[in-house]
Amino acid sequence: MSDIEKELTKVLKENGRFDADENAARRKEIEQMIFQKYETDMFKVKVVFWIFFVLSLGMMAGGYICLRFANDTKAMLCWVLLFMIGFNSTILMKLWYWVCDTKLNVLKEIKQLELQIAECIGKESPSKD
Amino acid sequence: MLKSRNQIYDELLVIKCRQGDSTAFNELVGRWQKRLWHFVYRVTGSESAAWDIVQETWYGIIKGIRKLEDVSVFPQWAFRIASNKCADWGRKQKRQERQNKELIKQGQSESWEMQNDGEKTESLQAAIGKLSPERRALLELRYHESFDINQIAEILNVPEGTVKSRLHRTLEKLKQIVERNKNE
Repeated sequence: MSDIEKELTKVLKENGRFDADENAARRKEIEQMIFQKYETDMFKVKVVFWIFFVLSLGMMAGGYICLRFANDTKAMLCWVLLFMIGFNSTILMKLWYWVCDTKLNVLKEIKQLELQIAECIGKESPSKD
Repeated sequence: MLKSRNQIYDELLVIKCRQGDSTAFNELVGRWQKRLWHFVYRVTGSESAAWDIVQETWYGIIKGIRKLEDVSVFPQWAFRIASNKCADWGRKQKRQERQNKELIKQGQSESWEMQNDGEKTESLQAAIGKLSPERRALLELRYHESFDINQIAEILNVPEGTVKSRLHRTLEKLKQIVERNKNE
């Protein structure tokens, strides 16, 4: 690292008024807005999941009820198809959720393990290749 | 490549965020807010714009965090979002400048001087202020955030060679400005 690069590193680290008192209120306000947005987004994901889940259940239930009162074979086949679509959708949704959640849980466990190892060897600063 | 404790902890937080853990998200914001703000502030030179852009950056992060498959690239990914938002801001500024040239010109020169007011304006600091926003971003990523060349290339979406040459040219220009300031 040349002299100018060393000086640059020093100067860039010194500058910035993020922690200034006049910025505290703005910082807090923005942080609150960000948290709210995160909560809202997560809630939206849950709502979308449940809407699809209820729709699939509705299809399943509707297909089953109509199947019981159907008279001709063609109608029965249609209602069976609807029932099957609803039934499989609910299974696939649960399966998809389970796969995603398990994948993240495994990843989390690995990271926790990595963290423990890093703490054991006391590695605090970023390393190069 | 061995990772530091902080890097691993950030990755862990990102995974938790993807699972919908709001406490982890709060912590992630706490750890990254300052770094993102510094970067954006350096590029834009305006505190008020920096706050707005950081807020938009976080909205972008929230939108995309569920799709972020490789959690280890979170720093580059977050800075790329911030960099893109800064570019948008720059384009908007230029458009406004075109519409009302004189007014904006006055505002820009005022804002940069305002940030330096009350601080020890060293020659290097003043020289950095004279660089273009793109070059300031490059310096911030390399010398403040300590990103590698390949990571900077990823953030700015340019080839590694371009980053190296731009960095070289920026340092040369910086030296020239410092020299010129000394002579004056």
